Amino acid sequence: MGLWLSHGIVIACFSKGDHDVAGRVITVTSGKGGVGKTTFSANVSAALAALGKKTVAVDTDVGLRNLDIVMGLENRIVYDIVDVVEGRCRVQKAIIRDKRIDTLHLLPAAQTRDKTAVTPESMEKICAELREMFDFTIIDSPAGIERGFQNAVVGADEIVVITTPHVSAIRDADRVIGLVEAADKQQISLVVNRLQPDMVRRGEMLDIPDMLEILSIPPLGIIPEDESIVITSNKGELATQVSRSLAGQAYKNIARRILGEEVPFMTLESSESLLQWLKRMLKF
Amino acid sequence: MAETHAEILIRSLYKRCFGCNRSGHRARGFIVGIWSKLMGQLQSSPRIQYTEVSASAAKERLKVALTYDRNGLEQGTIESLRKELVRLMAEHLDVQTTDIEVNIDESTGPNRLIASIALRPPRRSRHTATAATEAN
Repeated sequence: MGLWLSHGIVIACFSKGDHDVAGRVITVTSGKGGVGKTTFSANVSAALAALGKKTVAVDTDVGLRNLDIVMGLENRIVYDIVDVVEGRCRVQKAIIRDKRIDTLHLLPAAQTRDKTAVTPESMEKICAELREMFDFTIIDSPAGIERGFQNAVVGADEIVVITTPHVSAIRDADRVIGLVEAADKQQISLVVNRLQPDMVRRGEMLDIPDMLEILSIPPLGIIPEDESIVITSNKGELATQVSRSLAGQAYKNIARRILGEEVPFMTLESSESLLQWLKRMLKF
Repeated sequence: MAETHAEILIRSLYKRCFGCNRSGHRARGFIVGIWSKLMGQLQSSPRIQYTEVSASAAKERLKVALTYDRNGLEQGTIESLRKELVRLMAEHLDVQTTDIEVNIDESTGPNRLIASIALRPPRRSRHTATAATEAN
């Protein structure tokens, strides 16, 4: 069994009964920057789209947009979310359709404006529109807990808080959880990113049960540290679309859990045994 | 440093294969490289036992920090309160100024700020001491 499966938590259930009626709006947030919100948003959106769900990834980081470059769609932007807010175009016109997965879409942020260009009211309106048009709206929030964060959270049905096993990220995650709970959001779940199983085994990195105990929200997924994330984003590709990416597999599992499937957490062994290696080699 | 037999062997092999005499440095570098790689492998491979080291420290520190964060308090505020308490208590009571704890208890109902102050253990020798001074 996995590293921490022995601690008693086996399967996370993240289901919502009525998700075929209207689309679901899920906001990805963390408080701290650089923990993997954008990578998560891009890959989970891609994984949901690949499962046949009409999905749009929304970048709300006005002034510091990045979701477009991570998804490899940076040279296709004509209109952005501020154009929609300020009435220069309809939301349909600003949305870019991905050519690789035809159910995947992006609503980009503006790069030359700041967060005050979008108000929580206008964001709520956009979310309501997107809910009608898409099965899933994945909102990538900016770092911090100011206006940009409020914009990202206000229209969401569900919140995914993402953290890494670092004390700084966990502390910020706790702060964000408090704010989200205060905003009366019921569905909150935790994703732990960049876990290094080898360090956990040596007792030099916080383990999943510890983080769940400290933050006390249910887990949605665990993503191992994986260099394929850097490699794929260098090329504007998505890890979920690359075979044999461990992190990509973790994102795909998360997408299935969001759809209500019970997917066991990955067993994150740091090094495979000779027997496992042989088995894997014989399979291919 | 004198060349080892292995280095000499490699040098002669080089000479035979490529018809030139590569410098000893290179041969030595080659051997040192292999050796350090081997040692590196040996050092990193043994299974390190699961001993909670820095992870448990992280957990404890986080728990304390988050308790304060959630209650909108600064750890420094509580620390200065603790110092104030020590000063005040020592004025009126015989307390152990080194053993005063101020904590937040989140276990029941509304969170409570709890101060625990140790009194000095009663002195058994007090009577005999006063008796001795009176005698003088």
